[in-house]
Amino acid sequence: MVRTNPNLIREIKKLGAFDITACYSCGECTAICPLSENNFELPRMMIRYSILGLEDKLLSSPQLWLCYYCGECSESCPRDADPGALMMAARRYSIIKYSLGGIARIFYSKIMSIVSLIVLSIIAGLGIYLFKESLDLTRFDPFSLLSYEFIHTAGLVLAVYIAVIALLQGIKMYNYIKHSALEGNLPAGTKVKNLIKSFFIVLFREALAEQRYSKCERQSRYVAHLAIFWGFILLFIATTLDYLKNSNILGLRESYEILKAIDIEIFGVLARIIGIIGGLIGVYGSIYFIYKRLIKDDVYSEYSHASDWVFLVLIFLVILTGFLIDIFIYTNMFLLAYAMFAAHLIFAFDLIVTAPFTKFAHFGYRLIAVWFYEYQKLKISK
Amino acid sequence: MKQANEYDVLIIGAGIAGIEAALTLGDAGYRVLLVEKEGSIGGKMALLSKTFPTLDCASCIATPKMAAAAHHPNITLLTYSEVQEVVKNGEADFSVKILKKPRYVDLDACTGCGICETVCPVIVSDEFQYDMRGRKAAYIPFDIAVPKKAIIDLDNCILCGSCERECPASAIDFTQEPETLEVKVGAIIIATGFKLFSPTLRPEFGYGRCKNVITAMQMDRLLAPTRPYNSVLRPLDGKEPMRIAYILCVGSRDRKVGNPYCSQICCMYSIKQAQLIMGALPLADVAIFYIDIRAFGKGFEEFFNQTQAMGTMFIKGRVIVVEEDKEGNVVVKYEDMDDGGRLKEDTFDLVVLAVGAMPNSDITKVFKNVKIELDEVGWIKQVDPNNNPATTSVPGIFVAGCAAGPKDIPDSIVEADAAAAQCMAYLNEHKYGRKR
Repeated sequence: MVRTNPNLIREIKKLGAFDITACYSCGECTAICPLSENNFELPRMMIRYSILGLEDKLLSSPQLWLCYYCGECSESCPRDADPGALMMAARRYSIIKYSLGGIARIFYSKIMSIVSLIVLSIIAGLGIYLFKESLDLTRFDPFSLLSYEFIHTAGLVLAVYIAVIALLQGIKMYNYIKHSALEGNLPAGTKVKNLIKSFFIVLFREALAEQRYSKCERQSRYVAHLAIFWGFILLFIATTLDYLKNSNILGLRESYEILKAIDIEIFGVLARIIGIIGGLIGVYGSIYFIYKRLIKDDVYSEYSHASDWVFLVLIFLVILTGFLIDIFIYTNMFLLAYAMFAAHLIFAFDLIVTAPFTKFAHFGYRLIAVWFYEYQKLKISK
Repeated sequence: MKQANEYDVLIIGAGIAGIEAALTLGDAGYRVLLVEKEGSIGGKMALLSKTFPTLDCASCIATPKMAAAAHHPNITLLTYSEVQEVVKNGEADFSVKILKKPRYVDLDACTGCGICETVCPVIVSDEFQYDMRGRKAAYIPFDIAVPKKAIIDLDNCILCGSCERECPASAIDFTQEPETLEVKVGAIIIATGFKLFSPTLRPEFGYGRCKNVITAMQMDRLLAPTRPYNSVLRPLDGKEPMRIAYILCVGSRDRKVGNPYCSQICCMYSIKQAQLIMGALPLADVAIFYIDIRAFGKGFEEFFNQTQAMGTMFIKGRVIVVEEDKEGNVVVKYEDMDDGGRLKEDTFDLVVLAVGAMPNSDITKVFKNVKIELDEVGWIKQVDPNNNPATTSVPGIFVAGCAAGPKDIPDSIVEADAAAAQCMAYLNEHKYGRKR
């Protein structure tokens, strides 16, 4: 038995697929899609699910996350129904539905998301104000703003928070998409082998290189997206290196002979170089998307939901402030560096706390969907 | 031929609608001037293979009507001529300027023997065979042309003079000049028909990119009695196609190219061609890729069912032409909706695009002091389609056939006779004062 949700199409239309009911189901979008494949067809099937109210079917479709909105379907659609926008809106819808208790609904309402971000920023600001140490203005020492222990504990709490919610929501998503598994049974040994093999395919091809994204026509957009991702990774590495330098490698240096041989300052230099590269490409990537969404010259950037803006602007601010810390240290403007550091912490806090419920979550859901898809492909290849 | 300068009715366009309206008016005793811009009357119907759903021979229906129009005492034919200016002076009083393009052949002298065609050394692409064959620079438009008289195509002529020397009737006359006729008419019927959608506007379907992608009009020529090759052959290498695919709704129901309407004829002519192909190439497979089959007319549904029963595959799903493979076959991709929406790839020897009908309303520009309204797509607007189907926004100017919107041949005939009847009523009231 299939349960239908008669309000489904109305809710999805509100999330950005304004013209989708014009669809007359010709299938040109599926035929022209560069990512559509046998057994994983998109987007026409998703349009039918949405219009017919087949909510479970829609949420069970990993295809939603196999689409990168290159816009070829929307450009050739004879009804101007904008199938690409439907895929985007359905992804927004499934972020809400996959979230714990549907809490992500808050971040898909313009007013609620801004209010909650302001509240979160105030909490973070208050936290910094209450726990702040005395600033060392002769050099930049992050621990003179907040103690090593405080940052360490807060970081740990946030990491556990993210991990737990990501795991729970990932399981929730898997419980939906497992219904799209292809038929066929493999021996347990092969299953494990395939699972590991597909994991590495996802890790290297998808997470690190975004290879599927590169199949879309617009290469500049792929490069910009990759730039944001690697900007993030590089800034994260730089932050970790800096942290290691200042924390004296968690006291390990005293315990092991071999670590004593390493010049501690090398971490600082490395952190600076990696940080500047990461900051530059991250700023480039986020400015590219902000610019594209402002001039609306492309299919995918014509309509921006409030959640797109919040996500993009937060990412931009986190990367920019992280980058500016480096610049100000380099130019010996330490007070400004501390101010940037505080702002960086606040924006990063906002971004991380809301990550599982905002557009940020697409990173996780996409990887799960691609993993699932790669696993299914291995299943039928034998 | 002595030209009178006053007529009851001017009919612009001598396709099947224009001819039918002219014959009805002529039989009723009205003097008709029938103007056609091509060298022969007959329009698109004269070039078709069969009609649907009865599979009557199209030229066997069109040719007698063409000949009747040409020989009717009340009908004056002006071929290779274009209406240049129309001024409405009052009810039932129009001044018309018509450009007679030079044929460089004396119409009265030419016997249509075709010797000029044989001796002419210049070969160019034949527009009446939709570029599938060549014609000469001295040519008779097509086999069943009316009037069957030669034309010298001076744009491509090299002025070698062979035709002039060889013509047994001495009909070639290179001294002809364009000539403007001024006539007075009481009413006008616009029967300019339609244009075919240009499939290059939709590169997804491969026209121009793959040699073996043709339009349905080209396929109809391949199947017609006056066909270019005497068999169904594909253009690239002259091979008999064994697997033929049809893509429906090319340029119809398509907001991307600005034609949101259904062209009404494409489903049925494709089904008709599928039946004819099964007759011409009994071993060929025909697959028709459709969005919806619109078999709305009398006998259409039965015709569709019969074609299905004969073995034509009907596949729901729009096709994208991917590429041409090494043998020149066409690789296509589609979502097979009847098979659970699976994405499939297939190869066909020949792909036929069922191109839609486009408005052909440029003629409205020649009307100087009155404005003929067009509908939102560009067809001539029928201001009162329920009560007076042939009436345009200008009293005294009527519309017939596909000029008002896409339709099949029987509907065009009906509308042509409706226009003729309304024309008579208008003339009786305003010109002859015979109002009851």
